[in-house]
Amino acid sequence: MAKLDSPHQPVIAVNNLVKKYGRRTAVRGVSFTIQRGEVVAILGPNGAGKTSTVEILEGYRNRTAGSIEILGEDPWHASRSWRARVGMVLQSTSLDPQLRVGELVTMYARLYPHARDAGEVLDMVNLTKERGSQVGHLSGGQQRRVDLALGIIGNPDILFLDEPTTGFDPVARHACWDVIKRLRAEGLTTVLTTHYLEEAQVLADRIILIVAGKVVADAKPADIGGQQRLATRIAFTLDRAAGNLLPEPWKSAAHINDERIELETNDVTSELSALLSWSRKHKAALHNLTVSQPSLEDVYLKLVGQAEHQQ
Amino acid sequence: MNKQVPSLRIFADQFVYSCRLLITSKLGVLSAALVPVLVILAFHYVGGAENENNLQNVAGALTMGIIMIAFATHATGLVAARDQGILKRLHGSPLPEWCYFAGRTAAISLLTMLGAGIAIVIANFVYTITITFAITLPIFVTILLGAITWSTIGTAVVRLIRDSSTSQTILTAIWLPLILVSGVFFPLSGEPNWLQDIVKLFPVEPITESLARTLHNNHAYLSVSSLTILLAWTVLGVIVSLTTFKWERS
Repeated sequence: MAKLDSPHQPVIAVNNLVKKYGRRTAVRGVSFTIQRGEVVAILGPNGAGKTSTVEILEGYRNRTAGSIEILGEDPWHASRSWRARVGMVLQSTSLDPQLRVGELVTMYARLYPHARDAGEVLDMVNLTKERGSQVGHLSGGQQRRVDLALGIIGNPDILFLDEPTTGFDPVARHACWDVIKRLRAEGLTTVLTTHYLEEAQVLADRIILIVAGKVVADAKPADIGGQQRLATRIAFTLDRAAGNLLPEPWKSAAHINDERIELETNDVTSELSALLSWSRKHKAALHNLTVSQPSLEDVYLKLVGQAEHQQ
Repeated sequence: MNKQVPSLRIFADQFVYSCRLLITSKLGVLSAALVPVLVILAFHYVGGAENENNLQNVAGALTMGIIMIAFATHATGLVAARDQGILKRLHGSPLPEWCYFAGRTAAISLLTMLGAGIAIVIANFVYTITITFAITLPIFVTILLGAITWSTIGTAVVRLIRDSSTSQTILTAIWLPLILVSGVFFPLSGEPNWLQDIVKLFPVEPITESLARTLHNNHAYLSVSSLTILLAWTVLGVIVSLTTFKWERS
């Protein structure tokens, strides 16, 4: 019997989760909670344990140790009513190729007590025109959108998206993001795993980074890894002659790739002002001048590198 | 909030879904319709219309059709669905497991009976035998029982099959020797007694014997021992499936 879940309780509570496959430990004491309506991205390199973690959350795998509660139930012993409240888009496309898009979506809709309208869902994923097409005749990106349609057809309270936009072209990816944003606006709790860090940055309220089976960061995208405190990068290209004139301390502090010079600073205003003065004084043009905050990818690589180094 | 879709409705949907899959997989339909017919035509070509073994051959062809469709086609389809991740997705939905398997078994049994119906019509044409309306029902009941038994065995052996590339080889290695040693097309009299005793315990000979006797005697025949053997294999198939079946590839 499902417990009644109050709006203030986390809808997902994972405590000290461990998963072993024989002698190999894939997940080593992962803990986190997710509140109703949150979009949480679980990131990590291949083999980090994120797929094991997500598959335990989805009820496909049993854990070795730890506790887990989703919508008041243990997913491994989940009831039908629990499954009706959870939607999934699995990592790989898993569709009957010989069926038509419309009949497949309708067949799934009839499994759920509070399903969305099949036409509305096909419209959301931009497959209305393909309703009568055989699934096997669709492109890979279109098939992935059918996967997404099947994930949301049951009108779930929680949606697991396992690399949902793999194989999408940029237009299709942005269209998928729009669907996820719309579902978020409706209050849907979403657990997203992805290798596209831009996707996590755009969609997620929170990022959980798993490396070597452990959570190494759990924060908002803007805060993860102390992102805001990391140095700003100033980059520009100088003519070769001007490059030789570059004074210290810039000369030794800079990273120089071909003629592209990159400086990292925590005092961007002063540094940039001094650089522009030097440029005017020596008539050294700063080609392709850019000032950029460290990206999520920079932070991700740094955190993963640190965590792997500590192993 | 806990109200669920009635299981019987889901079972009916799964039956329709499985029928659609079978219809759209042309190979399944073709094998269902053609294999028993081809066997009947082959024996007719070799032995002629007046051969004394005609009824045995018709019974054998029907048995072979049951096994090829309810066992081989069914298990091949399950392995493919497992390998494609379709079963994993279904398992993550609120679909009751029994509805899926019952729907699939019902669909495969219907296809088996359709194939048998075509074979019976052809047999009426090519042989100088008459299959009366009175024995049609018992014949189809036997075919239905055989189809249910063999589809549960098919579900049970799916665990043995690593992937789709090996499914036909493994399945054929199971059903072909059984058909050959079970006296489906040739009498068992030439085989040692101990082998005859053993093969009677497998769910091939009871089906062939029931069909052959019904055709010979022109009235329903299904012995208690045959029924018990089919039932025992069905129960065994269900138990093995419940304990070993995996919804995704290892």
